[in-house]
Order: sequence, then structure tokens, then C-alpha cells
Amino acid sequence: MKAFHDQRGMLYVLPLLTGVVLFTVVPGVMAVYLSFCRWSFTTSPEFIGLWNYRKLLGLGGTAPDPLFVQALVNTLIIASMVPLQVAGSFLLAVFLQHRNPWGQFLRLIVFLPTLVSPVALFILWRWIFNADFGLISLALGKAGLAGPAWLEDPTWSKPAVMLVLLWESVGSFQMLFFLAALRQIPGQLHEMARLDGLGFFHKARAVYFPWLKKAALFNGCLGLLGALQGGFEITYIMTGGGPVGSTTTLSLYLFQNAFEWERVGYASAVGVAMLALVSPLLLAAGLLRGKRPQ
Amino acid sequence: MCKVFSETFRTGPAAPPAAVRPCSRVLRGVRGALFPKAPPGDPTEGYCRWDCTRAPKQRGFPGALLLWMVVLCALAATWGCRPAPKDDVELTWAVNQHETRSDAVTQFERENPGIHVRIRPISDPRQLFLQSLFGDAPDVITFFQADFFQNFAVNGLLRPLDSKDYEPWPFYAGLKDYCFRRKDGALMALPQVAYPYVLYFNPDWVSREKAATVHTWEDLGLLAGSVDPGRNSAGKKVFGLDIQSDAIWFLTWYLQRGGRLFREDGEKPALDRRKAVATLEAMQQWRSVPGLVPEPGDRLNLPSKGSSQGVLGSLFLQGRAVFYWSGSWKIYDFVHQNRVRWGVLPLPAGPANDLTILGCNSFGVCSRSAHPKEAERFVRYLSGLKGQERHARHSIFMPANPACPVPGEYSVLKDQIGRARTLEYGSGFNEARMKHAVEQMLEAHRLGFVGAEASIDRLMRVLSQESTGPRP
Repeated sequence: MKAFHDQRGMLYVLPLLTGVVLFTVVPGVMAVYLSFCRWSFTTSPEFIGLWNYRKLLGLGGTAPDPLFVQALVNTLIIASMVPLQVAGSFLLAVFLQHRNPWGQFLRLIVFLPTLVSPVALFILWRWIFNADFGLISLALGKAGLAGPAWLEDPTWSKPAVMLVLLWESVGSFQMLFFLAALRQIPGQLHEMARLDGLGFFHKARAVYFPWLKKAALFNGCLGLLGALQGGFEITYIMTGGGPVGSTTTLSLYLFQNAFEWERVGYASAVGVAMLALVSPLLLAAGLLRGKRPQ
Repeated sequence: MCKVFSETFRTGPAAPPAAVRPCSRVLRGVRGALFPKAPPGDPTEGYCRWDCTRAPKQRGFPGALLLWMVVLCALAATWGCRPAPKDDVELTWAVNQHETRSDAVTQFERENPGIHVRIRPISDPRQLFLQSLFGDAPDVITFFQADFFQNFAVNGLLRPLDSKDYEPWPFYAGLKDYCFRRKDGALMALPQVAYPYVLYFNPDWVSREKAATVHTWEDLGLLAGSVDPGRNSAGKKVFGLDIQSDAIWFLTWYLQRGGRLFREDGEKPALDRRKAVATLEAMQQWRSVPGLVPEPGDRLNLPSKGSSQGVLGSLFLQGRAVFYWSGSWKIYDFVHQNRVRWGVLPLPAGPANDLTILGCNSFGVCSRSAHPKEAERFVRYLSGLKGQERHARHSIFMPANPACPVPGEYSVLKDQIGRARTLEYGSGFNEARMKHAVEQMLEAHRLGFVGAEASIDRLMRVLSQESTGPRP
């Protein structure tokens, strides 16, 4: 009887499993294979062993690819903003958790950017950051200050991109997860905290933290994964990876190699390196999750 | 939906099978998985189950009827959507600046009844290349970069044209062979339009007579520096010279110093270090003059490299530049606006020569075309004298054929083409990677991160390493 049920379960899962195998596992295996090849779309892939990795990581006495190193550092710097994202989402969720019409309206406003196409948003931000007629420069000009060339100056381009990413992520799904988690907190706890006269920080430690730590961990993992593997749209649209590569992320570097310079094998090696980068994170997340309750 | 299915496939009463065959067991398993029996007392009973042992009930009839109606409607719609069989040929033409091409298409269709041309705009040449390689290839392709053309030519995506048929066709000498011939000399495309880089000026800031005195870059520097427009009517800063791109600036000045990019065979780089360093230093000198050349932050650089970039990114079109250095295709934008007055001049001469860079549009027939004869006829029409005349008359693009007349006010452009030439093409190089390296070098130098000599050394290193990508 049990075996019969198991077979039935497999039938339910089969469509999804087929999709995962076809669109994730097979391309993944192909990407790993291609990372050992030289391929520019037009001819058959030519097996070249570890050459791509030697060039990328600087194995065998050669210097590592400086563009890859720059992209890696940029990606890690952008990823360092994830705790701020999580904290911001949490604060926003606490602020918007009350169920009243005003709260509903604010939640909609805050969540609205998530519903808009990121391409449109980033083009808008490009406009806002324009050194000559952008909104920020105009505001600074009114105050008698001269703003920097945000997206054209390597000193400011990365902070500008990080600011937009923070703005985009704080009010998005991370906030929704926190809102959902906040709803799980029994009302009595809030009442007790009120009776005890707890301030926000005490309440955060005594009430929110124990109930929201799993949501925070989940959001943190999600944010880190997104930061380490993402960042393509924003850099492609807002800065094109420049100036002088100051905003080139690993995903953009992969794209450039594959689709601009037609170095698909090398791009696959970058992809494998990205996988290696997030693997410890996934492992750590699995370990931190701990045992399931029996 | 489950109900509809369950009701629809419910057949008449079936006798219970005497012996269960393995295949029917499998079928029952599948059926059980798809439409599981609800537990006794389950309120969903009768909705999501398929029990073929029961007699059909009347309530199943509307569902079955509905399903059959849907199926019949879908079949009818599919049949109706099929194109009616006809003898007409439809060609697909992948083309940039498609808004300017419809006139040529109309004329061709009028002269060739039975052939229709459908325009497919090119948004990104790389995307079109991959689509043509792996997916839906157009019949006729427009090329506007030498590397874009060569990518198609060397990968067997173009159908060779019979050189003998086109031998008497004259084209400007500046249009180098690598814009329309494969490396082995096979003719793979025909040129139609030549775009020289020229100098535009705004008569509101500088008179036509004064502008006509500009013959060298020194003349231009002095004149642009002496004009002090300050700010325009919108209170925005006006610059002396707006330049389309740093790469064009560097390459033109370098070539005007007598420099070369590649050896004659295109296999090895031939960058002249001394001339390249002098070019970078001269550029830096111009940048150090306040208000002469705008910085990237002074314009809105959109990710789209299409026409919107030209309009929104051009300070000249916003009335914020006295002079503007760009290609002749800009005239199309200029004549379709009335905000800014404009005039056109030859590009100033450099220390060694007065050449300017020449862009080109050429057309090829895709090797995967289902109608190669008709496609070649279309290419022949476009690049022939009649097609070029028509194009020049309606969209003010300069014909690639010197015999083709142009409107009198654009004779200066014709003279320009005479001294222009297409950028050198290195067949052994990854062009896209090389362009990126040049842009990075120029950006780093502009920002003052690297000196002129170090920048050129770095560029030479990249050129020598990055030929056709990584090599074991």
C-alpha cells in the first residue's frame, strides 16, 4: 500500500521534476562541461582541459584574470549590504504591520516597485542620478551644492548602485516574509510587552527576535544568494559595468564573456566559480536550519 | 475542470474485468494518480473522480458538450489562422533604422509583383547573429559594422554573390573589402550607404563664415574656445564640441597622425606607441580646457545604443554644443526637428592627413533563405543605382556609389566620403573584446587613473593576448 502511494507521489512530482532536469540539471551539467572547452557558438566545442580555470584563477604561475577579480570584489562589496537589507525590511515590516486602511495603503505603496519592471525602475534611477539634470543634482543645486557625477565617477558609482539595490529589496518580498512572520506572534506577547513597558529595542530582543529569527535567516540567505548571483539588470542598465569596471558584477562579467565576446567556455568557468562561491552558503544555511522537529 | 473531464470521459457501464492485465493495472495507477478517489463521506465526491463502472448521468452532458464545442472552436480557429495558399513570396529583411526603409520596400514591391518584404528591425547585432545561427534566420540582412558582417560571412550564414555580375558596380575606394567580401575574397554582400563622420555646427553660436574657416583641429580648438555661449535659454551649460564617442575621437586622431591598428593582413596588431601616446595626450589637453568638451555625466547615456541614444544623448540636439562631431546619419535626426539650427562642415585635418572614418551599410542574402533568388533580386535593387537614388532622396543617406547624385546642400558629404575610409578590421581578433579594451583604456585615462604611456602599454598587451579568445 505504501509503495503504491509512493508511486502516486512520483506521478505528481514528475512534471516538475522533468522541468528541473531539463532546464536546470542538464544545462548545469552542460555548463560544467563547457567550462573545460573553448566555444564561440559557431563551431563545435573544443576540449581544452583546465585552461579556462588557469586563466580565470591564475593557476600554474599566471596572474588571475584582473577583470574577474574586479568583478568578484565588486560582487562581494554589493553582497555586504545584505544585513542592511534584512534590517531595513524588518523595520519596514514592523512599521507597516498594523491592519488599518492607512497601513494597507502604505504597504501597497512600499510594495509597488516590486510590481514594476526592474528595467523601467533602473532607467528611472539612471535619470535620477544624472550629474547634469538628475533629480539629486537638481536638489543639491538648489541647496547650493555641487553633486558628484554619480554614475560616471568610480568612487560614487558603486554606492549609487548599492543604494538602488537597497531601495529595491527593502520593500519587496523580504518585507512580506517578515510581515507574515509578525502575524505569527501571539497577541498576548505584544500585550505583555506593553504591560511591562518594554521599549522598541527590548521588545525586539524579547519578542521579535525569537519569533522572527528563522524569517531573518531565510531573508538573509535569499538576499545573499541574490547578491552573489544577481546584480545583472541593474549594472547592465544603469552603468554598463563601468566606469572602468567599478560596477561589473560576476553575472555581468559572465554575460559579457558569453554574449558580447563570444567566449562561452570561459563564461561557463565563471559560472562554475559563482556556483562554488554560493555553495558554502547553501551548506551553512542547511546546517543552521538544524534538525526538523519530529 | 476536473468535473468537466470526469463527466466527459464517463462512458457507459462496463463489466468488471475478469482478469486484471498488467497494462490495465498501470492505467488504473495513472488514473488513480490523476483522479484519486475521494475518501468516503468526502464532500468532493463526484467532482474529482473518474469512475467508469457507474452509469452516465444526464448532468455530464453539458460538460461534454462544452468540451466538444471548445475543441471544435479551437480546430476551426486553427484552420482559419492558416495562411491561404498563394504563390506570393514573402522576404524578411533584417534592418536597422527601419523607419527610413519603407519607401524602398514599397518601390521594390511595386516593381516586383508577387514579392513582399517584411521588415524585421535589428535591435542587437549579436542577438540577430545567434538567432540566424540557431533559430529563425531572415532572408536579407543589413550590415553596419565590418565585424558584424564578417561574423556572418565566415560562419556560412551568407550566400555568396556572383562577383562577375557586380564587377562593373563602382563603390567608393574608402569602403574596404572587409565590409562586403569574405577573407578569401568571395563577394558576400553589396554596399548601399556610406556614412562619413563630419563636423556639424550651430549657426546660432557661430556664423557660417567663421565656421567655414575651420580646416584643422587647431582652428577648431581656437574657434570653439573663443566662442563663449555660456548657457542656453534653459540655463544649461553649452559646450564647445560635442563628440559622439571617445573611441571615434581617439581612433580618428590616431589615424590622422598616420597610425595603423593592424598589419596589412589583419593578423597582427600594429599599434604605433608613439603616435597613440601623442593622441591620448592631445585628447587630455582638450579636456583640460574648461567648457570645451563635455564629460559623460553631462548627457544621459541610456543602455540602448539605438536612435533614442542619439537623440537623448546628443547635447547638440539640445542646443548645448557649438560644434558636434558625429556620423552623417545624424542628418536624419536633424531634418526631423526644428529646435536647433545646424550646418555641416568637413572634418578638420590632423597632423599627417585629413581622413575621416567611414561607416557602411551593406546587404547580404542569408544562406538559410527559402527564397534566395528573390532575396538576391532585392539586394540587387537596394544596392543598384535606382535603389541608392531612392534612398538618398528620401532619407538623406549618402549613396555608396559615386555615380549616384545627391542633393546639392550635401555635396560636402560626398567630398568627405572621397577622403574617408572604413576602420581597419583585424580578422584574427575578437573585435568585441578589443572594443571593450579600447573603451576601458580611454575611460581609465580620462579619469586620470593611468597615464598616456601606461594606457597604451596596457592596450597593446590586451591586443597581443586577446586575439581570438583564450588559447591553450
